[in-house]
Amino acid sequence: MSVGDKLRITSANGSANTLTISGIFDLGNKGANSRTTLMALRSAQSLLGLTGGVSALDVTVHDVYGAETIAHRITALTGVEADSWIKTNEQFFTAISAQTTANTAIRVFVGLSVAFGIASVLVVSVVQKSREIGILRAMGITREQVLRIFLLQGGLLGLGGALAGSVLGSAGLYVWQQAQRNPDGTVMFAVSFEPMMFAMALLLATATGLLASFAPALRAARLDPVSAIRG
Amino acid sequence: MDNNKPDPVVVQLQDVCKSFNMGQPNEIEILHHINFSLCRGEFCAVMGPSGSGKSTLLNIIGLLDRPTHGQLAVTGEETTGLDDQALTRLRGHAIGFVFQHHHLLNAFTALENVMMPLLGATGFPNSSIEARAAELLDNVGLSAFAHQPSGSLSGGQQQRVAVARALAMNPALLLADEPTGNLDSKSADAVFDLLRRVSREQGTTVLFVTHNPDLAARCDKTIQVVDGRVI
Repeated sequence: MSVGDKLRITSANGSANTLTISGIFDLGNKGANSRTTLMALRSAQSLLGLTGGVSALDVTVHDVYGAETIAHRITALTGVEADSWIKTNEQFFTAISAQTTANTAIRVFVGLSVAFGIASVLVVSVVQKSREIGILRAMGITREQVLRIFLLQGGLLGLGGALAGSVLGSAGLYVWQQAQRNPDGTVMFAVSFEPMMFAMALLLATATGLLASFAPALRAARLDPVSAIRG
Repeated sequence: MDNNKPDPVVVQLQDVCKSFNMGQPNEIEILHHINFSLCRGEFCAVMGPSGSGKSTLLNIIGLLDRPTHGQLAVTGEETTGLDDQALTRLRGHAIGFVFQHHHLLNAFTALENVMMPLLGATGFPNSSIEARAAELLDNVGLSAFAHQPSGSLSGGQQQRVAVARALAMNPALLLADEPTGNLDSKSADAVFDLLRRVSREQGTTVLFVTHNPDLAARCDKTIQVVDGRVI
């Protein structure tokens, strides 16, 4: 089917109408696409024998998770039975909530592992480079400068890791999205790459690197130059 | 130079003592009531058996360690009451170090190693720093090796780079802790002659720890350290 084609629609009560396709949309979900048709209100009312009436009103709200409260307010104000998407899709909502919790937990543990990884790398680096640190201190490099060097290293490790992770993750997701398709050729999962999400990830990873490097950097800054040079 | 005017005192020790493990049963005094001074341009050898306190003395004069008693003035500035930041600043501007092992940073070229103290003072590399480092390398006869990794140079060349690095901030005092100890006699002579020339041409005061009596005999004066006392 394409725009301009004629489509004959028959309702459950037997009335029929022939309509012209004026546009094709994609809701991003195969099931939703196959059961949804948008048409002019009067045509729908005529087809379903609901002259001047409607069977249901869908209301779009800005705060999707506030839908339940809004539904209660609509019922209280109008007396009309109002169900939120949360109630009508309770299982789906529970799944989304569980997924959100799982995502948060994964992010926290990934963040912790990144922090411990960077901290352990820097602790080893401080131990291995203690003589060099001692030499630099003998040359007049201040404790604050030593601290800054290792904080910078931690921040750059976080930023570099986040950049590499973003590139590899995006590439992997793209390849997977291209490989996983519906029988009709459409993508199975719509994936959007949001610049803000990447920016936040880079910022968070850099901040994690900076925080993780603080203890090793402090240790480096506090090294006694005489002991460090002596090794 | 005005012959009627005495050379300024660059380093002066008055009744300097150094103890370790203070207040503990195993407290031990390494240096006992050291008194001496060095004037601008003096080239002084420090001799003494291993464990006599030579390196501890050098560490104290180099402001890497603090005396437990007595007073130490460097370039006229009394150091006893200075905090770590002020000591680091004075060390960076007034004192250069050459160690027995060159302690160059092998990840960097000879030129970059010489630039290190200058970078510590300015924070960022610039053309004047590079020009100064190149001039110093030329002064020690290594301009042809400026862009070679320091690890690829011979022992004598590395020690000459270390001398150039120590001179980067044009220090009034150069502390050399057995700089010829790891070198063959030819390289040792070259490094000694280099230090001698620097002292003569730039008026740098040099305190030169050595076990070699022939080299000590070529210095302006010799300090003997035995069991933590200057005799």
